[in-house]
Amino acid sequence: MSSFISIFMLLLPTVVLGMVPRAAPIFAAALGENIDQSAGTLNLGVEGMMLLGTIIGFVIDFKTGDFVLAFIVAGLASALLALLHGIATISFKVDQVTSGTAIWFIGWGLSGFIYSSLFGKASSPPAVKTIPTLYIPHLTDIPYIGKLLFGQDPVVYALFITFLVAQYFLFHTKAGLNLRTVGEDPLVAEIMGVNPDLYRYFALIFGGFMAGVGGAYITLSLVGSFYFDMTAGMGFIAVALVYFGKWNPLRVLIGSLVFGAVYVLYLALETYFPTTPYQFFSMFPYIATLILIILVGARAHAPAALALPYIKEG
Amino acid sequence: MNIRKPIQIIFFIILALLISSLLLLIDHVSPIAGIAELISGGFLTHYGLVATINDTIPLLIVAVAIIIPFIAKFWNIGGQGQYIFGSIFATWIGLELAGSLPGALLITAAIIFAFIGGALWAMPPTLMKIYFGTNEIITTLMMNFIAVYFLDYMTIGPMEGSIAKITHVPSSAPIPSPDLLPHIGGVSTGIFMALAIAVIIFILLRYTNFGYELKLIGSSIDAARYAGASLRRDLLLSMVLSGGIAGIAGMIQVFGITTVLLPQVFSDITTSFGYVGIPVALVASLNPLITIISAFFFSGVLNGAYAMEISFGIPIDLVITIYGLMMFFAVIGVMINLGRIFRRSGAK
Amino acid sequence: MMKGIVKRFPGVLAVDHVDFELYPKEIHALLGENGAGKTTLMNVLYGVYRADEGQILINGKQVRIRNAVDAQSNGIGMVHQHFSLIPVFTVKENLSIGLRDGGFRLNLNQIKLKIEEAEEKYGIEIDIDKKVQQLSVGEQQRVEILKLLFRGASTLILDEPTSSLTPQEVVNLFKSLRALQSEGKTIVIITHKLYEALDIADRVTVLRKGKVVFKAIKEGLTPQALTEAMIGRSVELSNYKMEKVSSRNSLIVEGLSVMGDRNEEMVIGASLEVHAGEILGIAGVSGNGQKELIESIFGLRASKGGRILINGHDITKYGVKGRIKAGLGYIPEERKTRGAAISLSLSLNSVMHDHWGQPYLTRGAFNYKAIRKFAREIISSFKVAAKDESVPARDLSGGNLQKFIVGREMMRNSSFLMSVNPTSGLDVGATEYVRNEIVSYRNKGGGVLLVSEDLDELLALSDRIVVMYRGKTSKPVERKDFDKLKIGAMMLGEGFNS
Repeated sequence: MSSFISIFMLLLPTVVLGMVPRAAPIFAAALGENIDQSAGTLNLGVEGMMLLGTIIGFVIDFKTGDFVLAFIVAGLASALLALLHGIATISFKVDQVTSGTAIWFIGWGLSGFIYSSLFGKASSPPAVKTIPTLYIPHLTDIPYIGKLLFGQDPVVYALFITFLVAQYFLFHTKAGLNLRTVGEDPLVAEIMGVNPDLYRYFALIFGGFMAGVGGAYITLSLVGSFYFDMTAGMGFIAVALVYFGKWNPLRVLIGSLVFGAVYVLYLALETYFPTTPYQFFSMFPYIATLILIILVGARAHAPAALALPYIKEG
Repeated sequence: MNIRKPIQIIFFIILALLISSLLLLIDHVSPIAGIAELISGGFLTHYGLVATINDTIPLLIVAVAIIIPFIAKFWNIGGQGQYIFGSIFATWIGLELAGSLPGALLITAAIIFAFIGGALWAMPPTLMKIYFGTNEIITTLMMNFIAVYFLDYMTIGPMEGSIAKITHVPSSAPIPSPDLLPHIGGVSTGIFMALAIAVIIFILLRYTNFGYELKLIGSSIDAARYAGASLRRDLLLSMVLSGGIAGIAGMIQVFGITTVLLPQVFSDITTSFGYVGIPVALVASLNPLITIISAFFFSGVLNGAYAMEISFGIPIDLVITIYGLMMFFAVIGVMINLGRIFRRSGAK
Repeated sequence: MMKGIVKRFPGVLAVDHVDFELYPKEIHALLGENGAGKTTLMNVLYGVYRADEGQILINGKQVRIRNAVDAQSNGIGMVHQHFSLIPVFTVKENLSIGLRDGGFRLNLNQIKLKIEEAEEKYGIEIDIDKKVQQLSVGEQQRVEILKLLFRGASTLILDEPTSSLTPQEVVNLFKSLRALQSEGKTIVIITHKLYEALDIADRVTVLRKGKVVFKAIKEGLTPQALTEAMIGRSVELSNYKMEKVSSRNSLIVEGLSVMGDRNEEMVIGASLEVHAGEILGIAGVSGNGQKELIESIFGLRASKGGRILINGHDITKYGVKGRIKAGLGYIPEERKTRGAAISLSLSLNSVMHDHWGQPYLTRGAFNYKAIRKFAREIISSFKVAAKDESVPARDLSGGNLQKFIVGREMMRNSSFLMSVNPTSGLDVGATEYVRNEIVSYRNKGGGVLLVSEDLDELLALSDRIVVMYRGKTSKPVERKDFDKLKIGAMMLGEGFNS
């Protein structure tokens, strides 16, 4: 037992420093999904949107070397998928689970297809330079928290700002209240002069963009190259995190950081326990998701109109 | 039955294929040539047709398996994990009992074990739903990933075959040939089991109280409770059946096609029958008999995509997108009223 | 103000060339039976529906009202029967939805001040920091009115505002409506209760089958004239034939306690007894435990104390299925989510309470021939307008679906029937039909437990009435002692020890 504790203490700095970048892609997708679900649309296609983001981000960065452009195009590509989901679920009232699954497949297939079409099945995969860390002078030198808070890459900062904006938007602006109204009861929203379809489209497109950014972050910041199905369920974990976060971005952020820590922890533990089959460590994030989702259970109040199409009468 | 809907769905699926074919332009392949190759490679050549029928087997079984809880709107996305656990359990008992039992008995034992394996793997999400109200889409999916890693561990670890130890290509030892499912003209006899399962589940859903209660639950949980349905029992039973049948698909694949237990890669669509079963079932409007057709069609598209890969170098991953698009358009085809749109534009 | 309005729904001419005038600062009653087109007409004025023909004029100028926002910017506001409120939001949040002025930021403190100003001006008192789900129906109604005033409405339309209020609350509502009138507001009350119209209105317009049949100012109006105008003939509304059937069979509830959804005790030691051949009415303001009581008797909600007996047989431990088999039937208020599985065919819906045995389940297999036959019998015996038994239940109109459900529950061999608001939202024909069927079920020796928010309905149909207040039941009131005001007072807690 004491050896476990000592290993834990040993790992603590690694985990704390490493969890932020590991949390970033999940959080990006989860933040988008949070906004989606607050407006009443369940987007299960987020896994496919992230996957599309991984490849589009990679291709653009590989061809142009401009990582900012890469992130934006990746986001837009996934937003396009989200638009498809919107057309099906908002305009055609298709069941959201079915449409989401279809979108997942479309993005999943496209990621592998585009990669293989452009790069073939090369034995040594092409790589891009991962995006640079933005050290903020002096502040990074603050002991313990300096590197954690000020030693991240620019996308992490951008994400944090997006989080602040989203949190403020959802709970402190009129449009945010309107969006949550759409998620609770689209008919009431309509009577009060709020166009439910418009808000749902907006939320979906934002959610798609964020999923694309999250996907691109995996290739461009964490790995530097592309491999097949590299999100490995992160999109679905993001959906789970929204439930865990009870539709509050702040709680979603906390959940994402816990997940970042889980990822770092299992990678680190693998090296400490070389005799234990690595597969058991690889199961960590999925088992953690199961535990997390049990902890939340069904007790939270979900947006009342979540996953229900809005069908007007008359 | 209304004939309009099926025609519309077929129309939209063809539309999806046409749209997919435009993606071939990325690889500088003519969409028309690509579609032609897809059709002939999947359905017309002898080799392609045999492969298509063989792939129909696991696809059909898994799709029928997930239909059962889907009817009750319990979204079991975990077909893949249940399929994997069925194959692990079946392979294990097959290797354990090899030589000590006659082939037919051993195959029966393998089927039973596959059923148990798949059903067991379906239980955690089901019980979590019953006792904690968790979202089954997420839990069943997580179980898939855990199953993939567990399979990986088994094929490299405890169940690693002696040949694999030398070649370092992970797999189990092979099932001895007397215990395998026989083939007729290259087609695995598993096809008869698959068809039988489809028919049995069709009857089960249409003629039993259990099937009726699933339909009630799918329509409205409150109405089902009002009608005296026992939700927990129905949910549990539907998932035992679903997981178990998906497990049988895993067994039939090992005993009929691969002969060894192989690890899986997440992204490899050619082994992801558990995932492909979802669009297969949904496009068939959750009808087990129509699923026979849609499983055959999806399987043909897969083998047609192989042919495109060989002839034109089109990456096989395209087929996943085609599946997605077919599902996407098929469900829009269900919702839309084409007749009305045509009439309206005609009237102007 | 409204000229030649026509609104058609598939197969129905809901509003037929209606002219409707409204003068400033009047209280105008729009009277008519259920289904006469009153709500539809006002929904056109409020922009919920668009008229197929006709025009709307305000102060002589034609205006286009395409949605509720257009209506609101013309000073028109409407309170629907189902409130347009988000239960999990606070009152002030509800009042802030869709606000356009004052920038991007949601400044609840500033809004709060403004709301309080409005509250003071119109004499409405509500704790605006509370969540709507914590408020009573009467309070929620005041929130709705406040919301419209807050948006600058000068004309208020209230759709059946008294339907779920106690007589005392009605008095208060009318008092505040008069106060609003003296503040210069114009008010339209949609109602089917003619005494209410006579009580509050300055002028009355009566609609029947989508047409205006009568317009008058209040002076000199008689109830008889209005009744004739509404129904087209003079009839007595409560002419249900009541025959006493003597029987010792009964449904007994003893000291039942039930928890609600929010983990609070909603039914507290309730006791009642329904005899075969009688209708026992349960009166009460909604939310006083009626829902939980009925659900618990049917086995949909666990009880935490007490007993339920059918003909002396204890069914407390039974599940829903066991209770149905013991002879219990139930016509729920929620037709489309509970009483029927709307995506399934009428055939499949016809056996919701018979799907476990002969003749519909023979040797473990569904006998579709027998099931279809039963569905056809319900359709023909209960005059359900449906193409055939294979159409999905969602294709039926509300009234027809209700007839189908009533038919299903009555054609089974049940001995006791529970019914909750059986006529809510039905048109006059369907209402009368359903009420007559309930009475004839009783006359054939069945026992009925009737829960209704419509006190008039209870007074017309019941042999005895029990009042529920805060989860407790009163002693039954015999028919000869029925007194609307007295029962109204009981609904507000008189005679209950707190």
